[in-house]
Amino acid sequence: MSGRVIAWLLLAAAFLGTPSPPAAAGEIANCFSQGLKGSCTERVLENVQFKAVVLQFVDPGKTDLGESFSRLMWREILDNISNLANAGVILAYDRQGEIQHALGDKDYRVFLESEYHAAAEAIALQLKTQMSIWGAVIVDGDGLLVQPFLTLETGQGPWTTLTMHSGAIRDLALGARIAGSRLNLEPLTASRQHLFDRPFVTRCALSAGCPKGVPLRAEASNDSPIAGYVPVGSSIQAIDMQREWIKLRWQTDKTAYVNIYHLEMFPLRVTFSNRRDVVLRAGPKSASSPVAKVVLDGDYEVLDAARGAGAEPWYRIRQGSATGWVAGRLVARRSYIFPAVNLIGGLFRYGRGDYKGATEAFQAYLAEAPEESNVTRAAVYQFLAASRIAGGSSIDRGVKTAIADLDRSAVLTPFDPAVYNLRAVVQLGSGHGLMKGLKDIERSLNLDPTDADAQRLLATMVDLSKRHALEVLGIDQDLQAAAGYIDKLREQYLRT
Amino acid sequence: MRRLSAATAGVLLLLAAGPVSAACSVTGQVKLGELPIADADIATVLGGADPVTRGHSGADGRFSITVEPLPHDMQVLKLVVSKTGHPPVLRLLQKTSGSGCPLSPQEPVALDPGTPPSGTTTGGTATGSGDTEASLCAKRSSLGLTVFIAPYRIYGGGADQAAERLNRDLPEIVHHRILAFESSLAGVVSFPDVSVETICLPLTAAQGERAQEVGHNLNALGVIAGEGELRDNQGKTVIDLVSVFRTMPAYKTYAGVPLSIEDTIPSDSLRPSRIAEQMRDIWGKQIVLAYALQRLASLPASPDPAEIAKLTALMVSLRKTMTADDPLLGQVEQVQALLTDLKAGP
Repeated sequence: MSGRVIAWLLLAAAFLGTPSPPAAAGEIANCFSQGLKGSCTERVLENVQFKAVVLQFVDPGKTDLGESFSRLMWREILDNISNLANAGVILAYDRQGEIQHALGDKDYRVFLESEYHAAAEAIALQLKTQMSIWGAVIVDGDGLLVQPFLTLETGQGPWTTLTMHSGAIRDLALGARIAGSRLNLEPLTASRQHLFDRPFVTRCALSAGCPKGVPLRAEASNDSPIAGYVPVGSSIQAIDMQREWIKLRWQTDKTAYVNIYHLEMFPLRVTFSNRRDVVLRAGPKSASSPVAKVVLDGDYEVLDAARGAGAEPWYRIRQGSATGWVAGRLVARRSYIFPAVNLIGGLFRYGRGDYKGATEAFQAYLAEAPEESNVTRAAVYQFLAASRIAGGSSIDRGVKTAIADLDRSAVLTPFDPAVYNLRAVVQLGSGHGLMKGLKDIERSLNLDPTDADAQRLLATMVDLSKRHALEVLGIDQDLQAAAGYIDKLREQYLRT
Repeated sequence: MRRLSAATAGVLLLLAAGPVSAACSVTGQVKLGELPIADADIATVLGGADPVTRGHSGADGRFSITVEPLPHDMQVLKLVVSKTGHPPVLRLLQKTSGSGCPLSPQEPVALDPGTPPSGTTTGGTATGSGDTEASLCAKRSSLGLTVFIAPYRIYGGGADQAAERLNRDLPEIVHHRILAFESSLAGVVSFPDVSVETICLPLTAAQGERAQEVGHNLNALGVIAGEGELRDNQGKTVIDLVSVFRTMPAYKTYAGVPLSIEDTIPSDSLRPSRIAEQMRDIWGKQIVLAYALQRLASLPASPDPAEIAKLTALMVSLRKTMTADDPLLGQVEQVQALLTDLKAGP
């Protein structure tokens, strides 16, 4: 039977193969300034298929940074997914109509503080988003602890499920959920000032344009008098933040505020992968004069950033004694203040069917967050494996590396049935691991005999065995032994 | 360097299967400050039974009493020391694993100066010396779902301010981490609202007996205590820090063993988050285990299968978060085995 092709189709995400026009990646669910309260009750990003909500961080210590952090993270995610079509991020803060409707008379911040992930799921369900990103800002001695959380809303379509459909048997599908829908991400600890020590560049966000430059305010309010203007495209030195207002140092000894909408946010660091003969330039455009020809390999701090032609980001970096600008298209990885941004970007790409991009983002996250908890890393390895499988041009391609990813995941959370279910799907779906797949189903049921995915997988195998159709799963394998093994598992575990 | 103390790394103690016949000797000394106290009544209480007077302290304050080994399903004997004019003092004597005998108190039993309340009894709920709610600056937990944190002490010059900040901010961070961990457990719809409170009585990491007493008197789910010492390390000041989490509830022969974590950190990194990070989710896991033990202990003789199923699911969820070398894995698996036994019935 060698050489026989087993045809499998992949359906890794609900939106695969449903191209849609690009949409604005960012929206806001509530009023962002005092003059726009009318938008508070507006439904947001209704037509965007894949979206996340960033909830105002809870702030028990009243640092006045809860909203600021949600805004920073919101903007970083937007920067990360700016080239992704039909994806969006909602920022939710204060008491907005949508959330309030769902929560009755509860303040959603109190709700988050007491219910944590369950609350985030409820809000995501109400806003019809696939993800909730939220967090807490806690006073930490003379610094701050910022703890981000990520809650995946699995009710919004089967986007966290890897399903493989058989091309040979019409109704045969093998699927399993990817683990970890409630992730507690690695906290960030830093001084307040350090949190804003990053590149910010002014842009014009006024529909009327900014003929005088971007307005700076004396206080953190639109009602405050204008203190001055800075040209569009200027780098500013941020020192603090208050809601949507970035406090900056201005004219050496003065401070002023600028609305974050007037600022571009860029990564803190960029990573290059062995780029040779890169020309560093004096300015952020290709026509700018060359400064040096260098090899770029590894991490580089972003000294400054700007938008070039076609809104492409350019970064000013230092290599040896040379400092110059390099185009964003040469960058392999961007690092943000929250490493989770790469994870969230990967999930967006996975959900939108950009599996190559998802694979890169998950790899970036794993490289960047080695201290992340075993539970989160295990989940990311599973998403990485699913991306490789779903992104492979043939079923064989990527299977080996995907299995290796799942092996890593199994080391990190060896008692979680989800990883064995997923590995079983890949083993069985690849057509080369019938017995290995069955053993994984057994491992899973050993850990939790009630596990729904494992029960379902076993039921499918029993059905196939009864129909004498096991050969669709295993070329050149001992189908009789497999049938006997399935019988044993059925007797031991399968609920009638 | 972070390390789990091998001596105390968490495994559930499977205590001796049954009592042994030999009698046990318990010795100690009663003091008021530095003064030995003669003629104090020495009584013991087993579980909810009435106190049994065993003897009196001698002229040097010392006493020696004889008690029976503890039954297989009991692990603590209460020692009550009473003296006219002073409130009674309670000590919890832990059972040794081999003989089943209670351990003698390691420090003198200190009487509290002052007048005892009229009609004070030496019943099982007596509050020990210094363990009044006022003296601990804490309220007894009504539901038994509170973790109490004793103030960390940092020994060595110049760390007072850091210790103060640590003690001020730690409860909030610990509470947050615990709730976040509980909430992240897959398949667990809701977990009871565990609170974190502080007490004002410093406890050293080694004062296990005292911490047990305090936890018992406050009906705690757990007691956290820690301390650190400044020292010079190649020209830099570091703190050797040790934190101990003691789980209070026990079920029959099972009880959590204190989990001790030691760490050496630069003195300028002494922040609550550092301690919380050091614990990662270990404290959250211990809370879930403590809650399971508490629920088990409250089950009737013929427990509702639904309740067992709920606790089983909780343990499955907890184990999902663990690596193969998780220090609490053994405890979870033993509780799982216990639940399996319960499911199977007598």
